[in-house]
Amino acid sequence: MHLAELQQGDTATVLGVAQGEAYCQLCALGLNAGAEVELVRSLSRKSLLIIRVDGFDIALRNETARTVKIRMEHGR
Amino acid sequence: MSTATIPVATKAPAPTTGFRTIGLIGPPNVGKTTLFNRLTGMRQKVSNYSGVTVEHRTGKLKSGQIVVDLPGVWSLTPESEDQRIAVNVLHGNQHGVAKLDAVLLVVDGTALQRYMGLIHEVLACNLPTMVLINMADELVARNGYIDPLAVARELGTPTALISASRGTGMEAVYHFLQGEHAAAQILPVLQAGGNAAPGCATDCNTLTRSGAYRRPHHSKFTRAFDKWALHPVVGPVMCILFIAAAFQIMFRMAYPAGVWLSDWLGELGTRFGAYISDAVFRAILVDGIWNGIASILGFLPTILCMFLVITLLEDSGYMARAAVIADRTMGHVGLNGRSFLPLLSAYACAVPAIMATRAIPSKRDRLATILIAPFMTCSARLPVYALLIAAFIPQRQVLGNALGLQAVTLMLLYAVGLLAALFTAKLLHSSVLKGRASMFAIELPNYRMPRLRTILLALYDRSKVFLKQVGTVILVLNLAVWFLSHLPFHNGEPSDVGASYLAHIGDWIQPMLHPLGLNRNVGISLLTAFVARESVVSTLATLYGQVNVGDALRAEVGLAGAIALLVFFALAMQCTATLAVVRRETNSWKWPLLQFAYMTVLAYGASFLTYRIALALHV
Repeated sequence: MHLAELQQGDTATVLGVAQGEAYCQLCALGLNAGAEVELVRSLSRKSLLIIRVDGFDIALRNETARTVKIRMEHGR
Repeated sequence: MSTATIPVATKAPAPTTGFRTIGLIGPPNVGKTTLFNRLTGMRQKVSNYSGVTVEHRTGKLKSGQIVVDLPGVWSLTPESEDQRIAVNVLHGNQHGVAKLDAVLLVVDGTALQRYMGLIHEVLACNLPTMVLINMADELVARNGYIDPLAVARELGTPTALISASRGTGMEAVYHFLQGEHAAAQILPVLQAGGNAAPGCATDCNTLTRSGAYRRPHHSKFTRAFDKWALHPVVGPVMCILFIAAAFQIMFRMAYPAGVWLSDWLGELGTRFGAYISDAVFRAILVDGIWNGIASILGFLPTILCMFLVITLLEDSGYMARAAVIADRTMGHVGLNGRSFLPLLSAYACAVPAIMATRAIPSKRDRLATILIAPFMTCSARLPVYALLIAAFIPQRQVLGNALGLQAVTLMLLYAVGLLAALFTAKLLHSSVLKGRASMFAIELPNYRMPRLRTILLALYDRSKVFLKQVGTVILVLNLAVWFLSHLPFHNGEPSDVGASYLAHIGDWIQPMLHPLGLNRNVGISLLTAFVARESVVSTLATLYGQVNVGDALRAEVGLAGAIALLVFFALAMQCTATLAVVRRETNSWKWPLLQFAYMTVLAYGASFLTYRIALALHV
């Protein structure tokens, strides 16, 4: 599954980022394999996501979040 | 700044010559290029773009050792071109690059967990490697902690804390490069990184557990404030309030200060010019060169104020939230939230706006923002709008006395510029700058008090760039326009603008202005507007002599022509300063010229249409 599929409060582990335009920038934001992510909130009907990565908050577009593969750990 | 190296005694005799060829590797934006400059003394551009070092560069240390700057990479998986080159260089397979004897790996200390994968991949190449943890001072400032000795122990390789920008911690690097730690590399400790990148979080957890590293903490205030700053309703309102305050300062203080400064400098020039007896020499020196410099310096307060606001927003951390709030709107025209602030600042002046586009990481988005920024109604257009509106638009109340007709006209002109910008962005997105939907991802850093040092440095840097690189081009272009408007000299006196070469050009372009309902005088004034938009008013005043400009225009141009002129003025690229800054920021004449041609054609077309419609409606 990918990052955009998370529901608010869900946590997951990043498996990897698809190659492409966003790749380098997402790595720079800490979305590397193994990083823990949590969906903090979503804005304007899930078109923008606020994600907590290893304790830092980042914002990214839904389309961009789709390039990040994740493994769900547990829902809340 | 403390430095440390692996605490393993190296009994083996160290090679005295040091390593011959050293590779410098690290992800983008961690200060790798800054370190390269510091090591080699070779001047290079330090820029914020990912991939500033697509080609490898080499430099020489004072000792004669060679440093190879590898492409900025996040991983050694040979998937992209950059990564392939980096892997080839590390393995000694890159054509034309000597085999490396040692590696310097630069990472950013404020987020060590992001680099663990790369660190292990590089260590797995089995070259003597020193891990340089840059921006460690920043980490400590944000309540983080790092023990380089413990990190070195965990990684099994020499590690040093450095600040590439300040040059601290460099002694340890030089020691390492002299081969003083070479023996340590052979120790079996290295096995730790023997395999290809294991899950990086695990490694960082190990570092955290052993007390070697503590991430900078996320402040409670930030999370609480973000609840409101990113709130669907409160967020945008807050954003608009900040912007309104910034614009208030801009228009009430900075812009008038700029006008005052350039007027004062102009007066100073006139006063000193009186001591020069030769009329031609005086005209060139005072009216041409000195007034040119005065008009450039007149920009400075606006630019400084704009960058003060931008730096405050950036350094406090609010900028990222504003980008998030604006992202959805910007997405409609194929841009993203990062273009919002530069475009907004273009309402004051396109020059600082275009300089501020550097914060946009995607080259395509940045170019699109640069190309549409001049459509925003800048402060220099206001005097012209004011003159024409005062002359042609009656002071009538509309909408039940709520608004004056003149104010409505002004708002319409702002709307024309904005619509043209949105239209152009759409057009660019589906033509020249075609590509996938623009991606958007941004870090939401902790809020913090802006630091005076950062602000002053940014202001100093921006004004230097503006004065040196933009100012010189403006000066040359302005001088060209000035000479055209004052040549030929008659009996040692510069000619009046109405009899100058510029007027001849005015005659020449007049047939083209005729379909817009505009006359020769307006044409000439539009030509002088290239120096500064507001000079339309003064040129018209000169051309019409004693007559009131408003009355003269009303008689000669009529309302339809005036509306056409307003539309032309709202859309045309009538500004050498903007052309100069676009040239500088895109590093080519191609984009400014293309932009100039496009905007002129668009302005002409729209103006022609407006004129015809106005005539048809018998206004």
